[in-house]
Amino acid sequence: MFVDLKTLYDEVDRFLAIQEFNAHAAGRITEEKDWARKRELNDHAYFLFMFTKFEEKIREYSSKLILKKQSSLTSWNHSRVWDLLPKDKDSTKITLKNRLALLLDKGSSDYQKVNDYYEQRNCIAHGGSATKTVAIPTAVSDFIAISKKIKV
Amino acid sequence: MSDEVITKEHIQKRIIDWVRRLDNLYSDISAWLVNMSGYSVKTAESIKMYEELMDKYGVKPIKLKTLTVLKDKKIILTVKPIGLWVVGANGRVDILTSKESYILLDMSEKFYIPVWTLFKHDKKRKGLTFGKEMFIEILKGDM
Repeated sequence: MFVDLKTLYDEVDRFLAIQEFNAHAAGRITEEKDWARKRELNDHAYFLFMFTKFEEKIREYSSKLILKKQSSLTSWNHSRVWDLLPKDKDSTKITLKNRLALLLDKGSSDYQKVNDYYEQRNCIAHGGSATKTVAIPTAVSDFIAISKKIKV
Repeated sequence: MSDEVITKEHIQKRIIDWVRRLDNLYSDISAWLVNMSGYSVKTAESIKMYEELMDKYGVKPIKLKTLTVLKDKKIILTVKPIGLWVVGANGRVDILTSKESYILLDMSEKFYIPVWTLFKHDKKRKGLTFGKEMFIEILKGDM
């Protein structure tokens, strides 16, 4: 799924980039800036879409883990903490970061990277005039790799 | 981003380092084309840098240079800095031509020697180490 989205992204980005270049080569500065802005917005749109899909996986796997622990741990000493957690993957009683902490060591570079992507996602969603740069190739690579690591 | 102690001074240092790395990249590209007949290079300060952290810590925008390659006085390629603060990288620069575009990421740690890595619009997840040969292939439309 990430690969399919990347293929679509590549097609659109290539088209927009060529328009940007052609405007630059022709000295059409305002038009060049417009195309550059469209590329940035395209980056943001695909990033937000991909992060949403990645977030779904975090929710799915964390819920699976919670359910697994709740149903397998028989000793109250071990199960008491897991019993407090919601089974439903859409529950808002547990934050995304805490769901992630069930799946990845908080001290790990993967956890920190996902945290950084999450902050990037929030910055983009909130808008504002400052540039927010994403790199779709590395984001896709990271989402695929980390999805495999957190799979339950 | 994550392991930095963020202060206004730190952001200013990162920007100075970014400008230096871009200057060095452009110097390298210029040197690669010196002996190639018909090719010339020009730089111009034409891109505004104003990223989220600059806004947050009150660092004023600056202008960054872009590099343009001409063949027989016709523009055939441009190199543009896109952003410094990129998750998983130490800066992004784009290479644009009339047929294709490429994302160039510096995969080095902060304040270290750059590791410029090229990403194409293809299915490969791993980037390619950027250097002279690769740049010439891009110029000639062979990539």
